[in-house]
Amino acid sequence: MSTKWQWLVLIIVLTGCSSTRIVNEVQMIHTLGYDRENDKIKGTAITHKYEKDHIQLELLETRTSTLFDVFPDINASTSFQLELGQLRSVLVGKEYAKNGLATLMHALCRDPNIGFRLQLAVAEPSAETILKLNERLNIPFFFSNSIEQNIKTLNMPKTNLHVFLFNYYGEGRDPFLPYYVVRNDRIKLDGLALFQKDKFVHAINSRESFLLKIMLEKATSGQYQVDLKNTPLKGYGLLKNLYSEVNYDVDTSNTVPSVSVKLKLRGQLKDFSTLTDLSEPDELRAAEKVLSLYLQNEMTNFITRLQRLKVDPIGFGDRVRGKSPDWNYEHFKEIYPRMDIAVKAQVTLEHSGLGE
Amino acid sequence: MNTSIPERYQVSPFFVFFLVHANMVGVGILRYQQNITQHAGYDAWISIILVGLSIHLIVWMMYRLLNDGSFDLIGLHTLCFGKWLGRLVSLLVILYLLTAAIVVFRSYLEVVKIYLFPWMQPWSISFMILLLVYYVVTGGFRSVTGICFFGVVIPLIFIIPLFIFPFEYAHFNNIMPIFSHSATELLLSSREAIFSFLGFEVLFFYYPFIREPVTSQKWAHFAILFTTVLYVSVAVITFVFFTEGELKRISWPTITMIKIIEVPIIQRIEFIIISLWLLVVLPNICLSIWAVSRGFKQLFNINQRATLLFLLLVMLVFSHSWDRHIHLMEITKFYSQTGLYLVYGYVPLLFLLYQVIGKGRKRKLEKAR
Repeated sequence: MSTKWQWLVLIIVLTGCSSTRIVNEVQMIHTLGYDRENDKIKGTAITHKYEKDHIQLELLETRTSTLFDVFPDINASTSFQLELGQLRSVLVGKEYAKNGLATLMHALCRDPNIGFRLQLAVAEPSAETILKLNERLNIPFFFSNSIEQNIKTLNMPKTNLHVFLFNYYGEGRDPFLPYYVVRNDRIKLDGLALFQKDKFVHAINSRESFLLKIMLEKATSGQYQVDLKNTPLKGYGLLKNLYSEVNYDVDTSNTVPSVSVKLKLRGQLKDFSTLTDLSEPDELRAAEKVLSLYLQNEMTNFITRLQRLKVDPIGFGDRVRGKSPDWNYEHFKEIYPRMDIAVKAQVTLEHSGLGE
Repeated sequence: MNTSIPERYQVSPFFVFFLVHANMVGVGILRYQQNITQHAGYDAWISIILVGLSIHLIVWMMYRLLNDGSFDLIGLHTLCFGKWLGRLVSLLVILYLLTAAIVVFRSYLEVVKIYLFPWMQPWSISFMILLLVYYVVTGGFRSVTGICFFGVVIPLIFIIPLFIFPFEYAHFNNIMPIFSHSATELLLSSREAIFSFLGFEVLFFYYPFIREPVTSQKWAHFAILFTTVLYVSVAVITFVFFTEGELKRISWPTITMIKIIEVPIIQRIEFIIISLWLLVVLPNICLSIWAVSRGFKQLFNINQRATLLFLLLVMLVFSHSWDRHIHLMEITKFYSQTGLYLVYGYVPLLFLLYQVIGKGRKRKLEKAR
């Protein structure tokens, strides 16, 4: 090819930018909220206006008859084209969540513009209230950041759109989502919303979400207030998790399968009310024993409650499925509340540093 | 009938690994998980192994056929079917290869359209890709081999490491219990998995272009082993990442899985992956188109460059006028059906025919000479 031809080819190839969406000419939605208001869907969205030295949050609202109208309807009220490519979080109101998220999930999991690390959450009393408060407080990326921060340092189990879809579409598990409430005119992340498939049934506080966290994953964070007044330790304090690991043993030999949960937790006992000298080996051993027993009890109670509520966020069903060739989910749902689940916890304490 | 190719056009046997592997892995790997789980569920990785093993057998047959006198497919057909019938059968196989090129090309355009440019006019990007194909194929078989080489090595370096990230969310319990499906279900899933393995048949055409072709057999088998391992691992990673119910609702599982990766600056890595994927798709198109144009030259004595231009024009028109998803589904179905019959029906049949008829005729021809 002659040089002239090479230039021509280069000119054609290098001008291949036909479909552009330039950042300054689109408006990106960062948070979406959905509520149900007597047969209508109330949609709220938060976008950011980037001004000279700070970011201004802007709230867009709409009321439509179906879920799918929300986005075009919001778009009709802005001068720029709206883009979902930067969507970080989706909040659903409590009422909406009670009616089921199936349609919303189906829409989210098939949209190529939506990333898997998107955070979903349930809002009480409604997504609108929480988003309005967020706008007033003017904190950009509040929801995604606060959830991620809580996963890393506190009691929130690993969660995002992928985790939710995994639990939702998977047989033998139920999903859970972070739960937001309003306290003292601030937004507070308050534990978890438990779902029965796509329907919200029950909310647990952040203390209980610690129990869920250590039973779901290899956790390296989390704090649990322990009340040991009725034990030889006589006091209360904070158990800080450093590393925990959980194992499940499923026995399917009986008609109703049974599971034994084995938890190993390495932690620190902080801010204990009655000063005990944990540097004495005997005292340390005794304290570990008391704590193990205490945690074991708490976990058993928690699991019993889940069984009574007929929700399975830990995924006992999935573990049973992995061991039974003739798996029937409907049948499992019936026997789940009657299942025998035994917990064994083993807590090892480490020195809590200088604060003795 | 000896098709002797001058040595300066030939490639060393080692490159057969890249030729075979590059032409097997295409767009199929982006979405095969869904099809193969239709019957055998999460036991489908066993089906992939079954297909891989069976293809070793087919490749062994192909080498037995080709080794016996440095043939290519057209030479074999002339021996077994005679001059005219042989040409007809060759033409059918060539048309099948053209379908292969079109399927890969169209599927790639579809991915680009869904993920990158929803409003794109298909002709603009297809024109540019086809320009590249023209450039590569006019360079001859050696440059096609070069593209196959890069189409394997570059993605291997950039894309394979990305499959480590989904392990953060791996639930190995998903593939349990193993062997919960019947043999029939496993075989039905194998049938679906064959589509991803198609492409090695082009060996029938480029065999004479390999220097010391007999020694290249081990590389072909090695390529198939490698492809099988790759497919099984990607399938298992997908299975532990998605629950079965979720996988059913996702149309491009491999890309969706990569969506979990989060890196600074590039928030959505799948955009990069899809762009890089052109390097995986390009060898498929180039090699098939090369084989088709060479076939036309051998059959009808047409100038290879003229055929190439015509073929590219056909592909351009095709990608522009048949741009709907259902068209792609239809042609893909046709292609995989034909591929199935070609690989598991026709190749063994040809093997038998050659043992019965071909060998005798060949001896006669040699005596006459």
